[in-house]
Order: sequence, then structure tokens, then C-alpha cells
Amino acid sequence: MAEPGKPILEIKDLCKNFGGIAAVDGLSFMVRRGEILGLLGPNGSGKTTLFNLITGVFESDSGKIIFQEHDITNQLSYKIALKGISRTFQSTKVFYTQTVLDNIATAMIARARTRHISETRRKVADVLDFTHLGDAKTAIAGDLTHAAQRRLMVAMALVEDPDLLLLDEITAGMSGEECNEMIEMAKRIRDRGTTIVLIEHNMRVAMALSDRIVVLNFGKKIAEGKPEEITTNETVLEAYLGREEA
Amino acid sequence: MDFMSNLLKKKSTYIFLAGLIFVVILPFYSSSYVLRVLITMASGIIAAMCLNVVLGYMGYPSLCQNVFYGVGAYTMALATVKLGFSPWTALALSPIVTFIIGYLAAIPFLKLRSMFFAIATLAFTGVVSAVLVNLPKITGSNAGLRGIPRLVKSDITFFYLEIALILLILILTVLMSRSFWGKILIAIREDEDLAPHFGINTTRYKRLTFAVTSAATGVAGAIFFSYQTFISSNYFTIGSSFTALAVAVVGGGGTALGPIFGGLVVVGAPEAFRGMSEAMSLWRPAFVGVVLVVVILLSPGGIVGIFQSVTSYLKKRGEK
Amino acid sequence: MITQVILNAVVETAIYVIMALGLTLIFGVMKIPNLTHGAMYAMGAFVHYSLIEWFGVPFVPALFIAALLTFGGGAILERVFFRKGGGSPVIAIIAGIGLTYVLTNVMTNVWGAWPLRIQTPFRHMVKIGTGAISSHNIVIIIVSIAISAALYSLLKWTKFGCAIRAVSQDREEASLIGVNVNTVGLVTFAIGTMLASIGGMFAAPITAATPTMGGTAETMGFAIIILGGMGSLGGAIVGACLLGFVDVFVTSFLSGGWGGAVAFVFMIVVILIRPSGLFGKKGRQI
Repeated sequence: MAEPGKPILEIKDLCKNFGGIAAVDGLSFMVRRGEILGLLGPNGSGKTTLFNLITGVFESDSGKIIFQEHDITNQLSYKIALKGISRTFQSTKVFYTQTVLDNIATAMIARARTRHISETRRKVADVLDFTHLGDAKTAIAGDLTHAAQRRLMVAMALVEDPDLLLLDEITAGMSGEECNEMIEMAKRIRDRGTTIVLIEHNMRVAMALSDRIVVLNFGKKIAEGKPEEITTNETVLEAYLGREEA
Repeated sequence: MDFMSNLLKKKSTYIFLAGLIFVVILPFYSSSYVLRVLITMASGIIAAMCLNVVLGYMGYPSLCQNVFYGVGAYTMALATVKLGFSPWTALALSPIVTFIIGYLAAIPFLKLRSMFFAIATLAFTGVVSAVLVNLPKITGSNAGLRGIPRLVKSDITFFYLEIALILLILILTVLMSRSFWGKILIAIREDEDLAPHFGINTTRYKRLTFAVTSAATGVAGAIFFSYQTFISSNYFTIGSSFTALAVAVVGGGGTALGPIFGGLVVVGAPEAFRGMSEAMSLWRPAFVGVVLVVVILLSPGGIVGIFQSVTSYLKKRGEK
Repeated sequence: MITQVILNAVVETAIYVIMALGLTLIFGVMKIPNLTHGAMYAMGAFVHYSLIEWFGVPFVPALFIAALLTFGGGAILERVFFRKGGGSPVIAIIAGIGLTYVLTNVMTNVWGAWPLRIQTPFRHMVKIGTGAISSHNIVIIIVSIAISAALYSLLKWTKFGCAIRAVSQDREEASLIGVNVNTVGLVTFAIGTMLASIGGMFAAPITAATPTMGGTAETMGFAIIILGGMGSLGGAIVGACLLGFVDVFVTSFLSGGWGGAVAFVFMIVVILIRPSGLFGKKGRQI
């Protein structure tokens, strides 16, 4: 296994245009193995687009995405997932008409067949426990509370032990207490060895979790560094305040 | 063994066996006309069961089932009449040819979603229908081809052949729905964009499912037209492509038994009416249409959906 | 020879324009493909026929009355069967198929399956170059242009037209600003159905009326609006011209049966390459 601290993900000069608007514009940064990287920026600065590019939902116009020494630029989504990248979504995406158990089973299908059934059962029990969903196993996903649904989304992303987890505004719509739960969960995920990149609008969560932060604006990186450095960075403040004024 | 003893405990197993025995005895007490209806109905059920996998489980509203039924049928017809093969050889060829065409069609069409997929498959049916009509030298067009040899001699044996096929497909469908394949199809139906994020190669499974069900439909077509010994392009118009759809929808999408009930209602019931009164037979297509509209608007889960609602309602009342 | 073919093409285009405008209007507002369009095309012809034969109404007034009746019929259809708004288009497709079964069966039982000849009062033949065109066909062309102009004016200059455009752009937004979405849907569907039936009424004297005459017309209609862009009126007209001409030329110069197939192939190619058609909005996800 590679040493901790080496880059697990490298973004190099990544560009993506949508009908003349540059959503991601010559973006370059890297993510170190085992860290929690916060990805911040005003609305529309290209954060979710970046996630979509990494997971193969969009094709980039130019640039490279390198994951654990493999070039995954413009690869098919399912292949990228199999390599060990998982994600959650800004608006909750789960299979609403299926039970929690079926949802997790579906998340495991692609890899479950090459494995003994007892191993699969252990992973399921494990992840249900981890995300506090043990009591809800037979509930229909659509009937769960909002926060529980989001935890289900995390469970589905986690169950196959991804090396890299992309969390897109995971605390959206959560109460203060639910956010705290989520912060705890994220820390435990990192402690188990999964690297995390998280998009967050909730500053408290972002500051509490991130080891480092990258700030985007108009698809470009405008700042990078430790949380304390970012909060005092002029360019960053201007980006957020300027946007609010406009 | 565990599975077997569980099965023997359930009431529904016995109902199923009783139904099966009934079906097996039925042909001996039926006139040749009724037998013809049964054979036609069984054939429609097979086609609908295949469509059901694509529409009900995978969520793709295919309106071109007819095409594959026809490809299988014409393979049978042309292989025997024009190339002199034996009907059983032709029967073996049918699924192969249909699989290939199904797979080729899957490549462009499965890139489309929902409504566009439906319209494209409808147009596909139109193209194939026009091709069949306009190549009289090959297909015999409307006048058709005669003299297709029968796979088996008697009508009754044909009926059993189809029942056997229905049972086979039923078992396969149930096995599939409980296996990883079924879960993948449901994932595709529920949220096709989400599935690949879990490593599921949706494209491969969509294409295979489409091609395999097409092949099975082709077999059904081959068998039916061997029974009928006569084929013409009249059977494969856009209008007739809706029967399989009606059967699948009315019965209930996404359930293994649905198409069977659908077949009973869509094909069987109107024929039962015909027995009652000449006048009723005039309104047969209207009847099918009405049932289709009522089902799709009030109970999209079809007949099986109604059963499920009723049983769960009764269960709830029982619990009180 | 070619003049005649061109004249025929223009007439066919005119009928298709009327049909396609109705179809694209319904799609634009209600976001569903109307699979009862063909059946109502035929129904228009039969209702018109009945007014003439059973009630002795002269041809032209019968046109207006039949149009009104089918307008009402369309309204009923929408209210009872298609009022789902944001519902899945697949449900609408299947319901449309079922209704077509019913309507076609009704027509077969009431009027018979044999082609009905309908006499048009416009029987004068006009010579143009090496070809000839009947005055009936000229009337069709005029009506087609008039309807296009009327629709355009309706949409551009009337309050209701604004409402239609609003709903077709964004249903939810429109209801938020006070547009009665249900009424707009109802009236639009009724207009669309009426247009289909007008197409049928004019086509019947040329091709004779049968219960299944709507089938090809409807699929042609879909091919046209997919080519032109579903929901775009201009696209419907352009698409109708293109496919009308292609269809007539193919039928006249190649063998007769391939005309329909060509339309279907067009449809498939367009859906695969550019589903939004020539003038539709790009990236429209249904």
C-alpha cells in the first residue's frame, strides 16, 4: 500500500464548458491519501461539476484526472466506481421504492458475486451499524426521515470500502444535531482509511472536518490551505461577499 | 431441500399445481376452436412475459416486441419453406437470429429513455413492417407463405409445447428476479443514472436482457407459425404490436405471473364473450382498449397489483 | 410529370401541417405524445360524413360543426383520461393506445370497415403547367395556411396564447404566476384534437374514409414533430414540408409501399442524433 500522505487524487488543468460557460476552468490540485479535503466556493463555482467529472458523469474538455496512479479521465462511470471512488449527491439519490437492505445489496452487487456470502453479510451488518441504520433495515427508503435517507446514501457509498469518498453537501437539510452526527461519522470514515473530499456550504462543518481546504470560484482555484488560513484570505472573502452583493 | 419444504408449506403452491393440472387436462375437453384460442393465448403470453422483463423489471417501454416475434416466425418460415430445413432445425435457428437482431437493435435504442425509447421502437416496428410487406419475393408479403411444416403433429401437442415454454420462462423469470440480475434490472428501472456509481455496467445488462428476451419471443413466434403453417406480413403491423403490450400492462409489470393473468384477460375474456353472443365479438378490440385504459389509469400495477392491494388490505384488517 | 408530383406533395404537406400543428401543440403544453390523434383524425372524417349523409348538412357548414364537435370530444378526452400533467408519458402512451383501440372499434362498428366515399363540392380541376390540381386541394392549402396563421396569432397576440406559451415553458412557474394550468391543458388538447379531425375531414374526399386511416397519419405526424422539434410550431411546418415531400416523391418514383418506411427511418435517425429536432430546445430531458 502507498504511504500515507501521498496524493491519491490529482486534478491537472481540468476544463469543462457548458455552452460557452466555463464550469471548470484550468483547475489543478491534489488530494492526499488519508486526509479530509474541503471543497468550498460560492454557488455555481464548479464544485459539483468537478465531482461529476471525477465520477465519469460528464466528459471533460481537456485536462487529466489521476487516481492512484491510474488516469481515469473520461472513463466510464461504472469502471471508476469499481476502482474505488464512491460519492454521495447534493439531492438525495437512493432507490426510494426499495428497502434499506435492498438498497445496500444493490450497492454491493457488482462485487458481491466474487465473494463468499458470509463476507457480504458481515459488510452489510457493519455498514448498517456504522450509519445507525440497523433498526431500519426493512423499512422502505422512501419512508425514512430526510437525515436517515442521507445516511443511507452514505452507507451505500461506503459498503464496498472505497479508497476515496466524495461527499456533496451531505449535511444539506439537516438540523444542528444531525450535522454533529454526520461530523462524527465522517471522522470515523477517515479513521478507517478512506480519503474524503467534501463539498460543504455549512462553514461550521467544513471547518470542523477539513484538514485542508481548496476554494473555487468560477471554476478556478482561488485559494488553498489550512482552514484557519482560508477564513482570513482576502480573495476568498471577496468571492463570497462579492457574489452575495451581485 | 430447505427451499422445497418451504414451498410445500405455502398455500399458493397447491393452487398453482391445481391450475397446472387444470391446464393440462383442458385440451381434451375443448373443441378445436377453443384449442386454437388457447394456443394463440399461450403464444401471446410468452411474448408478453418477455416484454414484461424489459418493461416491468427494467423499465423500458418497448413497443417492438412484434418485430422479434416476426423475426423468429419468418426464420422458421423461410428456413423450412425456402431452404428446406427441418422445422426443429429452424426452431433452433430462430432464437439465434432473433438474438442477433435484438442485440443490434439494442445498441442504438437503449441509449434512449422512456418516451423516446417507446417512440423509436414503435418506428422500428413500422420500418420492419414495411420491409416485410414490400419484399414479396422473400416474405410473400400480404399473400404470405404457405406450407410451413409443423413441429409436432397434433394441436394438443403444440399446446403442451407452449405450456412447457411458459413454465420454463416463468421459472427463469422468478429465478432472475431473485438473483443479482433482477436487482440490477430494478436498479436500472428505479434510477438508471445512480446504478453505475455502484460499479454496475448498465449498458451490458440492458443489451443482454433486451437480446435474450427478444430471442425467447422469437422462439414463441417460430412455434406459433409452425402450428399455423401459414404466415403473412399482415400479422406484423404496428397495430398488432400492441397486443403484447396490452397483455403485459394489464397483467401487471414487474411480476412473473402478471403476463399470464394479462393474457387471460386480454385474449381469453373476449373469446369467452364471443361464445356468449355474436354481438360481443364485434366489440373485442374496444374491450381490450377499455381494460387497458382502466388498468393503466387506476392500477398501473395491473391485475397482480390489484391482488396485492387487496391481500395487503385484508391482512391489515385481519391484524386489527 | 414532376409538376404533378410537386402539386401532390404540396397538398399532402398541407394536410400534414394541420395534423402536426395539433400534435406539437399538445406535446408542447402537456408534454405527452397524443396517441389518440390518429383516431380523432379518422373520427373527424366520419362525423363530417354523418352530418352530411344523416342530417343533410352541406359540406362546408358540416366542416365547422364537426370541428366543434371534435373540439368538445378532445376536451372530454383530456378531462377524463389525460389530466395528469406531470405524470409519466408512458402512462399517456399506453392510455392513448387503449383509447385508439376503443375509438377505432367504435368507428368500425358504427360506420363499417369499408372505405366511405365522401363527395366534395370542390370538384373543379385547375391546370398548372403539366399537372392538375383540384379546387378541393386548393382549399386544403388555403385552410392549412389560414390555420397556421391563426395559431401563430393566437400564440403571439392573445392573452390565452401567452398562457399557452408559459405553460409549455414551465408548468410550475406558470401556475405560480396565476395561470390556470388545467384549463390551458384542456383547451390546448381540444384544439389539437380539432386540428387532427380537420385534417381527416379534408383528407377523406381524397383517400376515402376508413376507421384505420388515422394510423399512418398519426405516425407520420410523430415523425414530423420529432424532426421539427416537439413543441415547436415552426418546426412542425418545416417538418411537414420535408417529410411530405419526401413521402410523395418516394411513393411516386420508387415503389408505393416505402413511403411510410422512409418516415420511420427519419424518425429513428433524428431521435438518435438530435432528439430535440430541428427547432426544439436542446437538452430537453423527458
